[in-house]
Amino acid sequence: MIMEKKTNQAIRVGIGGPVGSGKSTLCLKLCEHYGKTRNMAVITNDIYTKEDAKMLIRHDALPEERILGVETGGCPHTAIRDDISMNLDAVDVMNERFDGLELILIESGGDNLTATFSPELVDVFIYVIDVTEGDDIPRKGGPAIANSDLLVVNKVELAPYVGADVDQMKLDCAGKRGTRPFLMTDLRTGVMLDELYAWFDRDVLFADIVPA
Amino acid sequence: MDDWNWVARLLHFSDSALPVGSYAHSFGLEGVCQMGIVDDAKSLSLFLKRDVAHALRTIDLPLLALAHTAAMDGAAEKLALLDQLSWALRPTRQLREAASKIGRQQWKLYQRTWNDSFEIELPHYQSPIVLAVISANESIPVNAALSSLAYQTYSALLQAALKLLPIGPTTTQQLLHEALLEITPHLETAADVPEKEIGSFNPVWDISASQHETANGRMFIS
Repeated sequence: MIMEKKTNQAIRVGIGGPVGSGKSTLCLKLCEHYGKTRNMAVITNDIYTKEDAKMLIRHDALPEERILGVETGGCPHTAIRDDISMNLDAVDVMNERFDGLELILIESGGDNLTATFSPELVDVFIYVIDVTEGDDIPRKGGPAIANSDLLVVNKVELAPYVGADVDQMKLDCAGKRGTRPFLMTDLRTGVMLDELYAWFDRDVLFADIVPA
Repeated sequence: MDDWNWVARLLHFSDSALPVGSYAHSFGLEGVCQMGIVDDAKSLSLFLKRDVAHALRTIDLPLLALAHTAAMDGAAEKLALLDQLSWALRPTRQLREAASKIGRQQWKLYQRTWNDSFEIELPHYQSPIVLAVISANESIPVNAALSSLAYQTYSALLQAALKLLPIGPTTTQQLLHEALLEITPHLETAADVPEKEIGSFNPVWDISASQHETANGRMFIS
């Protein structure tokens, strides 16, 4: 079988989800939390522009040279799953730019519920949805809802204003995901952020494993 | 029995699903759509049969034909010169880079699939030159390679057209069929174009592609 040669050991984390669900905010939070202690970089995928990269730069998420925008055109799902060549080029650029890179976040352009990351592009896949898109989203399922390494259901504090039933969404997430983890968050106000960092430390960075 | 093994190689590298990044490019079509020059199936058909066919006849097909001969002769310096020429003949940075990014990915895939030991250094890895090298190395006849390049060119433009224009997939297949019929006679004569005659000037396409580079909103990189 032909496999992508991963010559660098940087952990690649894919962050996908529909438009406006909170992917960029999650990237920002992870950069703010890990940026000073980890050798990390971010690749953003934007459909028409490089706005997501610019947003992270405006917020000083990381030094500007550690943030790279990839313009994918009208097929954001293609860029992370079917034809990952542009993102692999961006990964190569970052690996060449930063010796000993430990972590690369790859944020997908906003897309529909069928978008998933190629396993040749990322090691870990976080999928972000939010309560304002409709509380039936988890029930609709799909490969990302069911099989992502972590499902983040964001903006729970807005649920009362849009009539979303968060308890039902939790039940639906559990039903679709089995033992796979999910978190009901509000990234802007910090709801469940500590739990998210704890998961990231344990399941992505293996921070609890002490080298022999 | 004839050796038809090259067909599998050619089909592989003619596949519109080949992961080389071409889905992100309209190769100038979005620019001419934004200018209002192409806005429906009829104007798209004219664009394909007039402008794209002219570019194929005067640039890409002759480049591939010459590069195929150079590759068969093992003339590495000649291939590098033709690669430089292909780069120089693209009117905008994004069109130049599109041809190189796609060519580099084609080459990487070739090395990771059919042939992991064949090395060649090109200054830009322009896609027509890369296709010529692969074709020559896999004993693909030059006319078959030329036909593949024409198909890939029209197919990529029509995939982009589906997103840019109010046309459907059946219409694009009809346009593909018509365009391929018209270009086929020119495949035979591509090798006859003298090297110094390669090139064309299409003000509308060139200017619209230049404007597209700095457009406020766009769906494709080129």
